[in-house]
Amino acid sequence: MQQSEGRGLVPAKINPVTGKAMTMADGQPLLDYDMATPNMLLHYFPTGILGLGLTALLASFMSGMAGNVTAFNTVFTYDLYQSYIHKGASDRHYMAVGRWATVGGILLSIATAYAAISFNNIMDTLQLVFSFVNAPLFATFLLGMFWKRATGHGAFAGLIAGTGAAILHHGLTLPIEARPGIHGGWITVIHHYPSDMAQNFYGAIYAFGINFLVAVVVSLCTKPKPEAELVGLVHSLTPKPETSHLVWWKRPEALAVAVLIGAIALNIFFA
Amino acid sequence: MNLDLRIPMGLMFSIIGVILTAFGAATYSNTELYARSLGVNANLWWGIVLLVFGQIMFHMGRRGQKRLAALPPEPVDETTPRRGH
Repeated sequence: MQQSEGRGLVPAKINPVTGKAMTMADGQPLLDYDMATPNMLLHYFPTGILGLGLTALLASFMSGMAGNVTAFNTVFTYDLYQSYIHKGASDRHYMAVGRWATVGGILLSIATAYAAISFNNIMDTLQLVFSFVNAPLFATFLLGMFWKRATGHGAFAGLIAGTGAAILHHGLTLPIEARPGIHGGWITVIHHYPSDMAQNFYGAIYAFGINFLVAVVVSLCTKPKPEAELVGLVHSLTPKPETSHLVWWKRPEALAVAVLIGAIALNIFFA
Repeated sequence: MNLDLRIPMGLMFSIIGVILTAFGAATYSNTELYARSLGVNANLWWGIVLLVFGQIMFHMGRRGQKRLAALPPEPVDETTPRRGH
């Protein structure tokens, strides 16, 4: 392990394919924050608890991976394959499809690992994907849950536009220390962000905003869904759960306020 | 079957705790081994923590299991259809 090029416990990132140390756009070594925790274990833990620490790390990786792969093959088999591609087949058939979906999901995650090599921590990669997928989806969900005038066409157009906006934003901007490519700027660079995370958050804001606007405009232009079909789906047409018999600290409102105060306090503390 | 999760979990933590505590006690005078953990016998201390936690969980699970066994069995509702995933 080439610790001399790193900073403290954070080592320099080695490209696992070529075995060479990776650099940023200004020639400085790229730091590998994902290896900070394993490095800390190796540095401070004596024989004995070191084995337990590494086992615990591996166990948490494996359980996360297992959970995600299970979710992937369930969603693919149940919600896509059974609902749209091949209806009414035998359980044996769906079981086989689910198993092959597991194989496909693992191959996909290996390919993603190669794509994530040039990021110096996994959080940047994750937030980049979230800014493409989750931020527009969140706008659609909010509208669908709280606005009974929202229509299916509006939601679909909004999702396409929001994800398109995120892709366009990623193609036009670049973090200062990165080279054009998977970090952005693959169309042309019109703006530099101070970090990957700043780029991700602005991308998410654009994706959410454009999804919201397009979904509202398209919904207002299309035929509204009859209210009878929306009972149980939209907040204003759904019976509210009765919580007045609970102790005050078990009610959702009190817990929501507690979480909000916690979030604000942490933001002030780390600001 | 209603297995309280705290029983197997508590057993697992207890077993690992016993192993770590024994290893820490056996290597108590080995200052060279604990130089990297700044002189703290991390095996002994963390083994004791795991052992105490595991025992608390195990006995809480045993108590919950006994209380469940004393209750009359809940009637199983066969009329509600089983949902998908």
